[in-house]
Amino acid sequence: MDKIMSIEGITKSFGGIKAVDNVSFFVKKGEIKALIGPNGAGKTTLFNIITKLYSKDSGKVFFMGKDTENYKSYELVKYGISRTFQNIQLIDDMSILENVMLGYHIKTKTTAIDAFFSLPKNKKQEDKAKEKAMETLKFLKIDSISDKYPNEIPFGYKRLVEIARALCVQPELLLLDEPAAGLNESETNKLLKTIFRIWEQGISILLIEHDMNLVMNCSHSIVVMDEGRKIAEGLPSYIQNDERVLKAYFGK
Amino acid sequence: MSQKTFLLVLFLVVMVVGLFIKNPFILNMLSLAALSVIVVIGLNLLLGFAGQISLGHAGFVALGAYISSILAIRLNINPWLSILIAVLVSSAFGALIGYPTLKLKSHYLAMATLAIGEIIHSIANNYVDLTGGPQGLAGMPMLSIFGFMLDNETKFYFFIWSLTFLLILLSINFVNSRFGRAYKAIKSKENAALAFGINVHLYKVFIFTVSVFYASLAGAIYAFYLGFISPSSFGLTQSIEYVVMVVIGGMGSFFGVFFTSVILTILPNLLTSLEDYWPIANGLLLILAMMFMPNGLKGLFKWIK
Repeated sequence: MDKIMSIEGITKSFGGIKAVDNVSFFVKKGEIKALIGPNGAGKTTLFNIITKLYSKDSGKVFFMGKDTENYKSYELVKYGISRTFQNIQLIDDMSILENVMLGYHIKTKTTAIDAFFSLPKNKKQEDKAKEKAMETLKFLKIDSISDKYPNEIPFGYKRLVEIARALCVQPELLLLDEPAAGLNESETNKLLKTIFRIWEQGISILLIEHDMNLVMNCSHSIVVMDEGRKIAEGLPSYIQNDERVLKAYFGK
Repeated sequence: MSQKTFLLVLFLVVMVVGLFIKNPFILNMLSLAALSVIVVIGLNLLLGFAGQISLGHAGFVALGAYISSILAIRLNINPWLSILIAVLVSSAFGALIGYPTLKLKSHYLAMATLAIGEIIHSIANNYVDLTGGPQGLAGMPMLSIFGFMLDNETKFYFFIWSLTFLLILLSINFVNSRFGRAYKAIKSKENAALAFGINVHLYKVFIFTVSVFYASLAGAIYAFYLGFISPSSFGLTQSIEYVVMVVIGGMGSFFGVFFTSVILTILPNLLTSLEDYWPIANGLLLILAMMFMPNGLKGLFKWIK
C-alpha cells in the first residue's frame, strides 16, 4: 500500500476555537478519497493547511514520503499537487485557453529576456503551452469554448475550466475543493464521469465535498469531519450507515 | 489589427509628424511627451498589469536624472555611460526597496511608495553639495550617437520617439508571454497565481524593478536633453500625474496610456496661462474618469488584438 499523501495530527485554532483538532488520514496512490462533513466541520481549513495558505499549530503533512513543512504554497504544483477552487478563481480578462495555459506556467521555461525580445524560445514555449492546454480542454470535452472569456460561459463550464487548469500540468495528486457546489443534477453526473476519467489516468484525487450523492458514487474511501475532528473513516457503504455520521449530518 | 501592426502605424505617423513640424517649441513639447510615455508605459506594467500601485515614480525619474547628471558633471564620465550606470543603480535600488514594500498591499503600498518618492525628492532638495539643492544642476553635456550630435529639437525628437517605440514594443512582447498571464493572475486572483507555481512576491519585485528601469531611463535622458534639472520637476504632484495617466488611459491598455500621456503632457504646455489651475483640473479629471469611465480609454482600443 503506497501512500501519496499522509496527514498526521493536524491541529489549528482560531482564537479559542479549534477549527481542526488532531486530524490524521492518508490518501493512497491511485485512489479517490473524499473529505466530507457539515458546514463548519473544518474541511476548508484543513484544505488550506494542506495547500499552505494557512499555517498550522501542530501536526505534519507528508507528500510522497517527504515532509512538506518547508514547501511554499507556490512550490506545491512543482512537487505534483494541483488544486481547484470552490469559489471560481478564473482570470476574467484572459480567454479560457489562456486560463488553462496559466496552469501550465511552471512547465514552460521562458525567461524574462526571451519574453521582452520575443526570442524564438518564447514562441516555442507558448506553442507548447497552447498545445497542452488544448489537449486538456479536449480531454474534458470543452475545447469548443477555448476562445471564450469566463464571463461568457455557464457556471458548470467554469467548474470544468477550473479542473482543466489544475489538470494541465499532469499532477500526481489533484485536490478538488467542492467541485459540485452550484451544479445541477445533470452537471453533477457529468462531473462524476469526468472525475473517473481523470482517475483512470493514474492521478490520485482528494475531494472535499458537500454533495453526499457524488461522494458516495465516486470515492473509494471517505473521511468524515465534524466540529474539527475526524469522526469516521471508511468505505462509502460503511460511512452511509455510520451512526456518528448520520448524527452529524441529520442531527439524529 | 494586431497590437504590433498598430504600433508600427503609430510609429510611422509620429515620424512623419517629425518631418513636417519645424517649430522648435512644439517639437520640444512632443519630445517631453515621449519621455512621459516611457515612464507611464513602465508604470502601466506595474499598475495596469500587476495591479501594484506606486505613488513614488517621479522619485525614480529623479533618481535616474540626478545620478546620471552627477556622474557626468562631477566625475566627467561619458554621458551614455552615466545614463547606463544611473539606470542600473536606480533599478537595483528599486529592487532593494521593492523587496520589503511589495509585501504590503493596496493603500499601505501606496503610502510606502509615496514616502520613498518624497525621500528622494527631499534629498534632491536638501543635499545641496551633491544635488545643487532647489537651484538644481546644470551643464550636462549634449548627447551624441556615434559622433552624431543630438544638438537640435528635430534630431532629439527622432531619437527619443524611436527609443519610446522600442520600449513599448518590448513591453507588448513581455505581456504577450507567460509572464503577462502570471501578472494578470497576480492582479485579480492572487491565490490562483500561487496555486499554479507563481512566486507572487518575487514577480511583484521584478515588475517593480522593470518599471523603475523605465522611469530612471526617462529621467536620465531628460536630464541630458534639457541640460538642467531641479527638484521641482520630480515632486508628488508629478507622481500622481503619472498614475492619473495610467488610470485615464485604461489600466493595462498600452495605446490608451500612450495617448493619455501625450495629451496630458502637451495640454498644460499649451495652456500655460492656466498653469495655476492645472492641478485642480487634473484632480477633477481623475474623479470624473473614476466615476464615468472606470476602464479609462481602454474600450477605444478594443479592436486592437
